Amino acid sequence: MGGEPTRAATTQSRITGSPDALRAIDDLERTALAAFESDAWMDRASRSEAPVIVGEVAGYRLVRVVARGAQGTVYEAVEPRTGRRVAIKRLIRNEDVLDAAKTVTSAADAATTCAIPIEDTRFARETSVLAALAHPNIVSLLSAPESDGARLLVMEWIEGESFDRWADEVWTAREPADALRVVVRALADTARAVAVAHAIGIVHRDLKPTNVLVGAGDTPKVLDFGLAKEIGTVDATRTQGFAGTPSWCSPEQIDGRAEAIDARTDVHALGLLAYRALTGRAAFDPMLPIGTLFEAIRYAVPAFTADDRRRVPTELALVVLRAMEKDPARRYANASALADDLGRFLAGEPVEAHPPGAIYVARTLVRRHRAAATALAVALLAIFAGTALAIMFAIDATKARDAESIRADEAVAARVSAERMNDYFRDLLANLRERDAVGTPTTAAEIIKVAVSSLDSRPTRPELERALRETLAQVLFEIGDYGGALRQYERLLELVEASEPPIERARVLLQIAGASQFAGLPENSNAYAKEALALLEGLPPDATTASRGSDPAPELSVGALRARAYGSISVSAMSLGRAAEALAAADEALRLAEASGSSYEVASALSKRALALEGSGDIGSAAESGQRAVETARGLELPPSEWTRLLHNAGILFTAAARPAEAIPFLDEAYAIRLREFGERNPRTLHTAIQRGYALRSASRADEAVAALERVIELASPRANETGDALALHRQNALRLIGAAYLQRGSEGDRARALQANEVAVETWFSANLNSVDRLGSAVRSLTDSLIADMDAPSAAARLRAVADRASEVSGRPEAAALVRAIAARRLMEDRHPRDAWMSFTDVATCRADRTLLIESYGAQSDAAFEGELTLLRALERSDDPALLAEGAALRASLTERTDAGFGAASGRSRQIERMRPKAP
Amino acid sequence: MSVPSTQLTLIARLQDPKDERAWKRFESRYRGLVLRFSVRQGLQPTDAEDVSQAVFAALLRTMPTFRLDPEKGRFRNYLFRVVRNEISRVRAKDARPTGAAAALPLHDGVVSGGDAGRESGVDPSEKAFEEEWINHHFRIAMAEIRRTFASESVAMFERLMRGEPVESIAMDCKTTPQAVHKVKQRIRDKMKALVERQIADEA
Repeated sequence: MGGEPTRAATTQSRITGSPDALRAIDDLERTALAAFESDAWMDRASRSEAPVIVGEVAGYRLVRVVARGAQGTVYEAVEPRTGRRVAIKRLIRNEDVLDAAKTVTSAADAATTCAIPIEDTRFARETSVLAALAHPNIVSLLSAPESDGARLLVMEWIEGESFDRWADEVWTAREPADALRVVVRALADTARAVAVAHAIGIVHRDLKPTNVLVGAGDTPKVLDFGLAKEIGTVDATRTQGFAGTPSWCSPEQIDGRAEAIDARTDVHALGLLAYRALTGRAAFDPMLPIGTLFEAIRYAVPAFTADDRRRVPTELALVVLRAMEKDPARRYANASALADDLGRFLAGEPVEAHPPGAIYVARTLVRRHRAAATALAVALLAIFAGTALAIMFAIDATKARDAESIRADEAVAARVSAERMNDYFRDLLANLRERDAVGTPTTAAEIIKVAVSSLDSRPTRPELERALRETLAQVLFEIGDYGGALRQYERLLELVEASEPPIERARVLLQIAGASQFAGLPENSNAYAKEALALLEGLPPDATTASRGSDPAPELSVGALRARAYGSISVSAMSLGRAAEALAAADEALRLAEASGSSYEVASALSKRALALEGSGDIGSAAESGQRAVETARGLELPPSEWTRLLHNAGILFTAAARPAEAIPFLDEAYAIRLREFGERNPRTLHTAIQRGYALRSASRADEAVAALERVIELASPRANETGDALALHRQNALRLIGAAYLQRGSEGDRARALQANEVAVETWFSANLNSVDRLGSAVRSLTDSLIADMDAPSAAARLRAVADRASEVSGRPEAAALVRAIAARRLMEDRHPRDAWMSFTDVATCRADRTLLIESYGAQSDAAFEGELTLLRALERSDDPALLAEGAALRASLTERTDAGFGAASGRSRQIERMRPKAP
Repeated sequence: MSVPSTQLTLIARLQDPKDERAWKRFESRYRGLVLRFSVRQGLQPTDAEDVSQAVFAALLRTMPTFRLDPEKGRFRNYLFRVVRNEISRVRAKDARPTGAAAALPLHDGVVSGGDAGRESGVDPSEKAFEEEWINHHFRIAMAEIRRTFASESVAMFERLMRGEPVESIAMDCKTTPQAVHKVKQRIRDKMKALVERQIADEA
């Protein structure tokens, strides 16, 4: 079974929590826990509480309640004369009849009985539907008596398993080839049964594994036509919302498009049923949060992994994929057509389902990666629609220059280039088609990787290359590959340098400044932005240049570009710890943006100003500025990266301002959009997910925080086929935060979990070779907290000493150990711990040496050096040696003086120094 | 990721017959399972009570020396054998004076019980027991949910279990469908953790 061992192993470690107590969980335990992977757990929960009944109704002896649900209550019963077992379904109505029957359990039962509205029409419909459907694969109706005012459906009793459990057993118990045949035959039988309903104009609408039981002889039986409706009629059961079980729903069902629900909705469900039965996994993980689940149903194409494909032949996968198509028009027209294709597969004949065509692939890409793929997909479509690319690039050229400068020979040149483009995209597409044929989701990043290497290896005319580089850079930026975007922009700068007007060069420089900032190079960013500003200074204020690609502004004025330049200067200055410069630049950016009259520029400037305010310590105003940015931009057609950045920033600022409840809606919205636009494993999406986890924790919603962060850790872990560990930073961040969330949740085992997470976070720093000291610093900080919470100070000290040694050993840099020591020591030296605790860890002499080393290695202004200073300060001030105390007083004075002079005001250092004042004796 | 667990499981604690709290917890936890299963096997409630008393008396004798032997199965397999024996005993007692054994839908004609009583193939009552066993763990977890969750959340969840549409629940409770889904998710996560822990407690 694809993935089965892994899932079992995970469950196993969850159950035991400890390898010492390791024992394999058996099938029954797995069955119990597997219920949580679908909505089956709700059935279980409700069934488990149902009273055990000893009683009679309509001449049948009731044995037990099998299920309670939307459709009424289902009982197992026996016909006393014949001993035949039957299933009796009745609406939960006149509950007194059965309450009068003797029940064993007491208090808990009372709670489950509660009237729901009577829906006679639905009941009558199920009666008539079942009466009309006599088929060996549909549960048969025996009678529909009335009893004490309640209407009953007496149906044949099916001793069987739900389709998914049955299929799992088949795969375990039989040879793969045999199992495949048996499962596909049952799927075909099920589809045939549903086809009978379709033939008389009935749609089931709630097909899922628990509604298809497989009994003796591997015969499936379709149950529960309670939600069925006649095709083309108005839905009598629900006037709004969707009917059905979320993870087994079709896109048209979750979108509540009642008019779009027809036989093809059942085809979709049958596709999901088939996917579950063939791969052992639900196509859409019911454990996902509901919003994510809906997004997945709308956009995600379930993949057949390499493991699945060992079991599922391509032809069959194509049949299932066609049944699961998002667009009903692309599915089989009804269950009969699906059954036919399954029949063809069983007979070894070619199936009708075929790989999606080129145009379709292109269109899907546009839909799936709306932001990222726009430019490329438009080009792809142009090729396949037979439109000359020349036209497109001619238009582009008009945008960039005066129309009259396009001379005839240039147009010819563009056409020639277009042909080369054609080849280029054709290669790209061939590559994509191969990957997409069996549903492996192609990520935007992969498309672009192909595009970049292909562009680098192909001689291209400069003007064409310019257009392509710009597009690629924007796409790379959109998908969060900032380094890649920067490389494209730098190449672009070389191309524009000589010939372009200054305003165009300024525009490109600002793009580079933005990409540099995101690529973690704030100094470059600051310099590029200032260079752009210098170019702009000399220009007439009414000069404009055309914007490119996804830029929300139609054209860019000098004023708007200057606003952007100051915005970039502000952001980079912030990163460099120059708060005053940042705030001044942000104010100027806002002023210019307001003068430019563009809401987009204003929103963008407000958001940057918010960050600058935060850096200068005015967090409340920062959050409000962030909120204003969002309000200003809401409704503008911003590219998702821009829009979500505003939301994301507003969210983190509210979290920082200790107003997490206000932060969460922003982060939820940003996360939902990033998830849809960039995918779950995209660095930006993960970044927002982490911040969301942080906000949830700050709002004391520890359970949700843990769930969100666990998901991030899982996603940010390297996959088997990946060489690098690109998401290590995100993983480490999530690990640190989850440690704190566990501590906050504080349920059984959470302290141990927290400690573990923090140890792994430190370990990640080592293993992923994360060079940033900040990261190590924050990981060590969290680990120290966790250790102190979990054990006595001397043991914590011993553990931390080991981490410090390891840090210098792995990185080959003694200063790494010094940093670990400084951070850990300061926390151990807090007043609530006995002096021995830190004395056993380090001493004043070591603190002094570490401080020197940190200043030398990281620079006097650095956070690492500051750590060293603070630690030494605390060590001195907690000493009882008068000489050391005097040295401490001097150091405090010097630190305060330097801070007042602007030494790292950005990170609130003076507050930190103040907080560390020793308690009065 | 190893966290040595120092906590004994409930079953392990039963090795000590003097650990009264463990016995109390054990009885309150498993009594419902025994009762329900007995009734499902066709016993009258009073007989089911007798079975349950006899089962716990038997376990009190045997648990101190009970060793979890992977060869023989888990605690629940052992419990099933004990319960089945007691049910057979009650039925035999009933059958003797009246001779009307046919009134009860007996799944298994095995009267002698014990390991030797197992015949080839799966005992259908074992399947029923397994079903009850799962229900039992869900029921205990559900009771804990009712105890620990806010009553409004529990009320929402009950309506969800009855299949009421999220929208109408949200409307009645003056909240958003999103919030209703959240309640459901929180209950699911908690319940899953509880069931996992309970199962682990049977080791």
